[in-house]
Amino acid sequence: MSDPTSVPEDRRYTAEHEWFRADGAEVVVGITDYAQTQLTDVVFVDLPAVGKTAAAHGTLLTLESVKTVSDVYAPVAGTVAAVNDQLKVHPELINQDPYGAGWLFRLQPAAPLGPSEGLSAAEYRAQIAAAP
Amino acid sequence: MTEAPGVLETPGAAPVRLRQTPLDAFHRRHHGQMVPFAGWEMPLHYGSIVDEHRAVRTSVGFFDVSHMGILSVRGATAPALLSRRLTANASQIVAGQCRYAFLLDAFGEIIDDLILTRVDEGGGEAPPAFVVVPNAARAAKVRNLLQEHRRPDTTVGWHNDAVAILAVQGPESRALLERSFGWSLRGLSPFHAGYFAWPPTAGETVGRLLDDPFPGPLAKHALVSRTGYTGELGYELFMESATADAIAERLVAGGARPCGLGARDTLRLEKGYLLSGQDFHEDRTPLEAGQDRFVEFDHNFVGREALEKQKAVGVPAHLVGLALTDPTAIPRHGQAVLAGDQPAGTVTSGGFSPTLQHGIALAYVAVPLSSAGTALTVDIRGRRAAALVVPLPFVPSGRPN
Repeated sequence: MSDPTSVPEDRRYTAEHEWFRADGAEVVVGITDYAQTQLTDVVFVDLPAVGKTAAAHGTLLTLESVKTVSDVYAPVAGTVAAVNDQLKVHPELINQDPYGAGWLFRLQPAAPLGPSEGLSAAEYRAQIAAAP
Repeated sequence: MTEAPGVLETPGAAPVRLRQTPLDAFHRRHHGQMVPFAGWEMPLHYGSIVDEHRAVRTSVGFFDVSHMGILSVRGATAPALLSRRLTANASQIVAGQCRYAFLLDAFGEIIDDLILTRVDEGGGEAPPAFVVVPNAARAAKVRNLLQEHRRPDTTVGWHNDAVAILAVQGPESRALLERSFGWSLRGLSPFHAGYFAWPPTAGETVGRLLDDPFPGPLAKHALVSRTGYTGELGYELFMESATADAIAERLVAGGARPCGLGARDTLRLEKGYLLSGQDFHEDRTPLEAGQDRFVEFDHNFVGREALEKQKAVGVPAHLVGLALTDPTAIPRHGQAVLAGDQPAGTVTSGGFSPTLQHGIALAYVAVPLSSAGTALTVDIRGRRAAALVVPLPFVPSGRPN
């Protein structure tokens, strides 16, 4: 089991336990290691259609895990440019490699991503350290 | 990401301070994901619920269940007291026997389910002694009810500070325990218990009964019962809390996988076992829950009259198993069950079955809709998912994994 407090520096975070990072003009989005530990084994990912648009914090997909169900939000406003099709057959990638092969979708942001969008790794780490 | 209410959450407000079991350091050492449960801090999993589930179905895993109430009832009228409060006739339970039973209110509704074990040698001078294990969230209530009804010759003890329980479950559980502790468990039948030497003692390999009041004998023994909540071959070990950590580490060294509450829930649900506070909460009778075989009408107990009345007029609803064959539809506690467009009942336990690889649920539905093969739907957050009434258990014994 990976260290659930693992929070890489190379990306930004949301208070709702998503990570996101700019890749060219697009933004790659996933859930954090802490989130996948809390959620437990993911068994189904209800991936959004490519082209779906969402406001910032708008719901984009649902994750069903053994224990519970949770929504995943768009960290910034935008349009879904691609989804991780691998998750249709291998939802466990989210548990095994949340920051890599377990990415969820790519967004074409409505506005260029500013450098201080969301939380820094340090800010997110402080948030999960304070969790009950 | 926001979490919807989880199936493992305890009803009622969270207590201010959580209790830790004697295995707390063990859980943290093995990277347990700790969560609040019924006033205790317990491991939800140690990495993967699915892997832990598979370990129990195919080899062996173990659970810390020290949060369960650990009560003793001892005295000349102990059998009468327990018989009066429980659906089991405790005066018929012979030494070394365990029984699953319900504690009811006057309306026949289930306050809790529990296992009682007669642990005294029997037949001698010493008075009858029982170990009673109710659910964590109900332990105080069960203790108080027994205390209220007791005669002065009988004592009700609560031993959660001094005693820990490990549930060792899975087809390889017997081999592991025999290998690790030098015990011979072949003679221990289902729902029987005995004291086995701890630390392991050459020449003392079989279990026996002792007339010391529980938990006295745990200084030199573990109380081992062939019971569990997984539907697999399994044993529950009662031990002194100070030795629990060492015993757990020995189980790990012997090849057993530590398992958390998450796997405990998926394993019991596949077998159709009820979860206290969720599948009943002082609102359902054992007859509605389909548990008639654990109600012995040969003695007088609180709730009996109400059950007899219900037997005569029929139950308003019946607990059934639902299988959801669409693998993207996972039913959850509290969701509505429909027959056509009409409300038909409510899911009380639901989730993903790691063995069957689809959603399963327990739900109370109107009696005409409760026979196997009935097609219903479950309202999963606004989406209607097809569900079929199926016989319980969902996963029968001996099913190849």
